[in-house]
Amino acid sequence: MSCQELSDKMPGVARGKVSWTQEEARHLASCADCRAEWEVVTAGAMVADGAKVDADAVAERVLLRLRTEPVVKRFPARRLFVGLVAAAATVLVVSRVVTTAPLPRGPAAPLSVDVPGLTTLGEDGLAEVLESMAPQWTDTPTIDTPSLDDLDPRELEQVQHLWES
Amino acid sequence: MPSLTGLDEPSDAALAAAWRAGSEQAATDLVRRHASRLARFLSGAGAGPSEVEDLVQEAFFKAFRGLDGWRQDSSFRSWIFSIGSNLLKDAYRRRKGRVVLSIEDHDMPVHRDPGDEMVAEETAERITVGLTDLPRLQREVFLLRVQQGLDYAEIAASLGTTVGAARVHYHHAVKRLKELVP
Repeated sequence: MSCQELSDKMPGVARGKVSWTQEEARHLASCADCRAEWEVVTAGAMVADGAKVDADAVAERVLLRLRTEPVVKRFPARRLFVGLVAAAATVLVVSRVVTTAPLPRGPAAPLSVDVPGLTTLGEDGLAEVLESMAPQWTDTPTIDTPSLDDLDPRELEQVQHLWES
Repeated sequence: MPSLTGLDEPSDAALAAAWRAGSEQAATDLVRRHASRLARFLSGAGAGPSEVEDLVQEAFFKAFRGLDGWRQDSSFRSWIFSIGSNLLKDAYRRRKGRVVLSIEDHDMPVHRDPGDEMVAEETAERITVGLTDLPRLQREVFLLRVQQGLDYAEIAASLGTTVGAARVHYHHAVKRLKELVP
């Protein structure tokens, strides 16, 4: 007979479910530690003995609530938390990548575009090409802006009136 | 899951199934079967006299609403104690950690002579006070084991812990409460 075996049986005996055997009773009488535990267990079995509820009244109220209170589907707090953490982690990672990305070092390489046909031309050839393009600019019609000297007195009055307004 | 009240009584699982099928009587029977035990547990674990009935009602309401969440590898009793324990934890937080003492008149479960009875009642009051000083899990494991007679597997299921941890909490609780015995 060990103290542990007695300890395991104490709640059942305290609640009147089982009884001590003679051997157990002798052990209990001779072991001060087991007796102290037995006092605790018997006292613990009585804790809140007077707490009672009217089970029928509770059942009635519970059923009434079940009939009348709508079922509320709530967004699980855990999912919300996981979502927020994931979003925060994404922002953190992106900001780290942006701030730690290596910047281009040294001067930018000169931009060179090879235009087929032009690379084989000499200086004269290039000048000829430029000259052939020039008339396109000169032929482009432009807005003819008359000087004030070209206006007659009536037109001058109209311009003056326009400025003043 | 075997019936708690006898072979002729329907099991908790059968009552739960009947409630799912629409039987309000089955729900009433489940409340009748477990409400008083739950009230004693909640009261011993620190619920105030005025909040015990509300907590019991809320526990059953949540149980019936969330019956699909009851995995029947644990008993309905463990499950309802688990819900009650969580509700009490929330109430405890709202009270900012204050445990309410409830010292009641006791019915003696073991027959003693009047002198012994008086000593036992004094011890019971000391234990009731001592329980309030224990960490929550130690207090609840002790009550589920000693007051409710649950085995360690049921206690572990009720409190979301392991059998080994429940044994350790019980051992520590008894060790500390022994110091209060004259």
